[in-house]
Amino acid sequence: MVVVRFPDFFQWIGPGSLLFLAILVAASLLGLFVGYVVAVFRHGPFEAFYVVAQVIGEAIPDFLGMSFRRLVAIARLTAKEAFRRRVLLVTFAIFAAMLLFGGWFLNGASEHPDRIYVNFVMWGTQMLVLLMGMLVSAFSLPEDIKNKTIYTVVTKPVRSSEIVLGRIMGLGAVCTALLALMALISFFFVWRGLSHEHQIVGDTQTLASFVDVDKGTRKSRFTARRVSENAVMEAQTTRESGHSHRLELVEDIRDADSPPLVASNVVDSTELPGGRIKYRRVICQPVGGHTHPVMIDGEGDDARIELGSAVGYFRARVPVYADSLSFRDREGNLKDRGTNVGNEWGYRGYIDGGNSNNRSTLSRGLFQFAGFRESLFRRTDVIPLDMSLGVFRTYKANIEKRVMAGIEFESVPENPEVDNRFVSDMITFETNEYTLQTLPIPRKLVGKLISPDGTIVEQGEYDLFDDYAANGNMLVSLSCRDNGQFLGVARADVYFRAGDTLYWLNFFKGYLGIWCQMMIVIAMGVAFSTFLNTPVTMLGIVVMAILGFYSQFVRDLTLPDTDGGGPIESFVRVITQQNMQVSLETGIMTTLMEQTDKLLVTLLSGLTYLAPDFSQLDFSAFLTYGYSVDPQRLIVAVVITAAFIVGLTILGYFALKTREIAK
Amino acid sequence: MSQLSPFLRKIIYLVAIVALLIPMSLISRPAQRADNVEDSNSGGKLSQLRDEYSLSQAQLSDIDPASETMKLASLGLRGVAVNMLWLKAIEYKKTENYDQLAATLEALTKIQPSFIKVWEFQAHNLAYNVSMEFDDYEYRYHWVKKGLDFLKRGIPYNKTDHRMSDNLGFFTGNKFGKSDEKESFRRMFREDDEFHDQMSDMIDPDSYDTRTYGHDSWKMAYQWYDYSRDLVDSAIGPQRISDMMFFMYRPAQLRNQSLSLQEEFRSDEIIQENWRSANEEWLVYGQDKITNSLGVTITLEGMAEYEARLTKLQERLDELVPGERDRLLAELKALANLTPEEKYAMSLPVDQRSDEEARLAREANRRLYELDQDLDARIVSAASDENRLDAQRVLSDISQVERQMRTISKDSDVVNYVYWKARTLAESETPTLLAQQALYDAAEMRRRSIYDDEFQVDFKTGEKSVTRAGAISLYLDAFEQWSDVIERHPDLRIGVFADDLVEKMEELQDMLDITNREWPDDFPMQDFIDYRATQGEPDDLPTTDELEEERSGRADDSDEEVDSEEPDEANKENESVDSDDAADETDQSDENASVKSDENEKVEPEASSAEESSAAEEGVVSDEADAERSDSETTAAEETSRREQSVEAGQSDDSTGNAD
Repeated sequence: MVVVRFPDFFQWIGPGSLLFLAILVAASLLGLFVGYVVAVFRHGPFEAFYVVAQVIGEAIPDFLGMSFRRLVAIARLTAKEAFRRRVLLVTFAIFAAMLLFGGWFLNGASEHPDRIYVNFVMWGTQMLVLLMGMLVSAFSLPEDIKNKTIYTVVTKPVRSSEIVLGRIMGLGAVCTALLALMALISFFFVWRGLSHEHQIVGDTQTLASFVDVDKGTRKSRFTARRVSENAVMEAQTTRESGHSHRLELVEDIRDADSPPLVASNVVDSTELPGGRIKYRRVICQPVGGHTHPVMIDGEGDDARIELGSAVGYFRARVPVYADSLSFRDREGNLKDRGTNVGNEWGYRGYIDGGNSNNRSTLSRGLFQFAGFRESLFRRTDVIPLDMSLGVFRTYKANIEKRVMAGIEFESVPENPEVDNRFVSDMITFETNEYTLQTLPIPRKLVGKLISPDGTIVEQGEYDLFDDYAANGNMLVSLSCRDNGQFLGVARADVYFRAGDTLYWLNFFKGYLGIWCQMMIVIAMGVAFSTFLNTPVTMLGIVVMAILGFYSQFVRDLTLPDTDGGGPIESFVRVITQQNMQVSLETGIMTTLMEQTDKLLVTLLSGLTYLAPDFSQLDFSAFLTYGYSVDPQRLIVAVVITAAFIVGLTILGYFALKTREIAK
Repeated sequence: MSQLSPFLRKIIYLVAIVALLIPMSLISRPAQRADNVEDSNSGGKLSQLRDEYSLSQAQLSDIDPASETMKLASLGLRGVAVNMLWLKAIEYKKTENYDQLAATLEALTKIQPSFIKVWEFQAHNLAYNVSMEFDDYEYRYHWVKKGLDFLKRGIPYNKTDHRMSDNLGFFTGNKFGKSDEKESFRRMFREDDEFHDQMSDMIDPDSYDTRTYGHDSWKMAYQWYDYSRDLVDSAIGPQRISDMMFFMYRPAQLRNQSLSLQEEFRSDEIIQENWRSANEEWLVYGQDKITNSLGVTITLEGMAEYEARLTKLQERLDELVPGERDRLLAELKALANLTPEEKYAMSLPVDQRSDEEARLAREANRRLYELDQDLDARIVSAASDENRLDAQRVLSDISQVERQMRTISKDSDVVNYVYWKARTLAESETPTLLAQQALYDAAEMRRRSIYDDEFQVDFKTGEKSVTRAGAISLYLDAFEQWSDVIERHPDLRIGVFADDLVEKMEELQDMLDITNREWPDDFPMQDFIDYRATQGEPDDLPTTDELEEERSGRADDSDEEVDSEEPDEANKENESVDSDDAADETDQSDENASVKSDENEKVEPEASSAEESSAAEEGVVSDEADAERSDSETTAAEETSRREQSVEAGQSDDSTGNAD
């Protein structure tokens, strides 16, 4: 999964609050100015000052005197009115139709049908809910004003702030209920769409349907693909949901005191000379991120083999990401970014595997972990290290052999100039590009204790938590072990898996992101509708939502070093037909234009923050790829939503105050 | 405004509406289809035009409710939706999100299902660009299949367009049979029942199952091209590419299949049968009437017919202007320096010429033609007044025939018709099969690094018998057989086939270098090498001239040596040590060989003596060792080792000597 932001609430809240305050102050000043100008036209310059001061003076007690009882009453009224509008019913009908006919467009036989299904329901729900939020909020107040039903409210002792916030709450509550229903139905839609079972192809559901593995080629007789190292027989399942699995009978030889973790798939066991035990187990090879549990009924060749329902689709992995990723180049120099292999997408940096002249490359990807504690992990005897690595080959080499990688663990002493450090022996493994591969890391790792001057103090087996990460800091160093080849990594590509959380819980966490977006849209709708008519309100929301979905793109446009310059320079280039790379003639006009652009760009950059960044509130990727939504992200999302609601309520309040109805 | 005017306006509107409705109804009235012809009608003008140009959705494709729903759901903004999906697809590819890319393509093709280029481009994207992004060949194979499946799913939407199945044929053949991973891909393809099931609704897996060797990707490609031919032959859809290429694709797959099988397995009767089918199909292609880009209709096999016609016309011209041709030709021949073989070939009637003679005659004619392109015109100019008109008519016919011949020749070169005709014919003959088998066995022995023969020595009689022929001997035997094949099919001396043979010869050369031997004087295909050298094909193989030059150079050197001084013992020793260095490599690479050559003995006498002892126990000695021994001085250590080996073999020194 592509992750570019790793938010930490406590680190985020400081700058976030400052930004919020800055926007609030800027917006207040702008509001004061606009209010004053309007008042000047209505009352003249001197009286305008008093009018503005009066409005502000009233605002503070108005907000402080908000009554929760009145808010709830207005919210209830708004909810009733929203129900009457039938928008909700229409939205739900579209949603139902979408799920009913959605199957037409969903390819269950794709490589990862879970991703397709989750993406489909998340995207569909998001679009429908935002549309619904926009419609109910944009029509609410203007319709009331038009029908004069607003007077039944404003003639009561309610405050303007309560009208605005109450409406947001009321509409929010109704839409939340519908969203919750949609989430529930979506969950069952996904679950039902993905669950399936297989049978073994053959006359019997026993080992009699298995055939011997081709020992010469070690390739499957069914698919001609590789078979596992210890596989002795294989079979194939029936084709369901556009795929079939390969079953392997593997021989697993273990010490008597370490039986296999999963016992249900053991066909039989034999004691070998020397006390070791050979277990014959049936394993279902995963396809598209899922497999099926194998249950053996009986023992030996006549045992009945049954395959359970699909597992692996509904996962919520809890990753422990590194705090930073840096690289060393071939000569061992520390770099922020890895080698660029020419990919247009610069997400991954590449680790150099060296060349034939320089076999001992020092190129590494260095993952610096902080706060790496035993308490984070559910299981601590073997810690899964998940990786999804990119591979770049400079020559084909053996096509059937994957590129090799190596990984080492190092302690990070508080004082590296004095303290010794632990360095583990390298664990080499075969990479599997674009696949999430798991490397089980034993808690005890063989390594060395090295003094600051580089001499080996001792060698032995050291504990991952107590030695390598004794102070919570640890360095995981990844290298490419094939000359002439490269390994690509990003910070989120290598992480320790702490465990899994409940999938349904994660599913609803994902929908919380949609809820946040919906609440912001509703708040916008209510706030805008206090001073704009319905069509303009809707247009305003659509513009803000587009800015929200493409906020990063819009912000990138306001970067000072954007090609083609700021708005004026771009305009000049367009009319003078000069491309973006051509340098403009130096002179006073150019300087003036550039300086003006700088000012405009700064202003525009500030304005982009007025639109919500929906990417911070979108957790669909987590669900799609089977990752638990980080609580830190949830808190950040909820705080952003709250900040927007507060800001928009204030805007709505002042806008409503200027209208006669609320006076 | 009066009360009447709105009423009048409404009346005018109504009349205008009715007036417009009449022509609209006439134009857009739908066609009525019925079993009975009398009950059917072709509908309005629009309907007729749709019929005429096969533009109605039902004619273009099956009606897909999903596709139609998507089109409706875009609310008339289909263009915008298409653009957005294309941008998304590009973005997903850039960010390596291939699952989402595939899903986006699904939606995209639902919105524009009858746009062929979308299917072509994106199927190519999946099968070529995305597949190669994966490091693991198994994933690559999976994405190639995805690309093919994607394209196949486009056929029902474009069932009249043969480009869909053409592309399927091309992708299937090219990706599975010609990519870097072809060996792995074709192996997986044979076993991939899942994929065959997937394709079985359009192509029966039995139709591309090759006896013994299983499902073959080239044969599947053949079936796709066959599907295209059926489409065009049964007039379901128009042919959209030139005859030349369209007719060529299908037969070409069979020869590709034979080539691949030959590369992967030892040639046998089944592969020979495949070659035979390839040849038959190719000849059928040669008989097909092809209209080329200039609008001229030809058959590639028609050259002989035109040659005969030309001869007849020229004879007629000669009758009209007797003696003039001989006179002019005599002049030209003197200028062109024709060889006796060329003269003989030209003297033969066209239908009695062998391939080689036909080629020689063509070559001679070409030279003559270059010297005087207006030979016939010059003959006509010498015609008497009474015959001039007839002669000019004949000349006009001759020009026409010559133009046709030039066209055939040019088009034939485009598809390399003559070469493939000769190749497929040659490969379907038993001598070629045997030669292929011999070369395969030789290459196999080379792969196992067994270069030299292994033989057994009967120490009593001193006779030795080869127990296992080494790669070098096998290569030489194989080339002996190839020499016969080439003699039968001289057209194959230039081209891919010959290049492959040259590659094999270079392998032989490498082995000879490694084993410190010289290129054999009586190499069976020396003529082939010499011929290629004369044709400007730069092979790194020694020609007869080069060999002779080398030999004469060596003879001069040895003469000088004899003249200057007699070699002493020390020099001899040095020589033998020098030759050892070159031989080291042989011994290192020759891991599987059970026999060590005597060079090794000279370098490491002690170590090799033990090895020789064990070899002697089995009574096996290398013939190269034998040869080398007779050429060079025997060292003391070698003598010792030989004694040891004789003792162990229970033989006397004399008998060992005899054996040597």
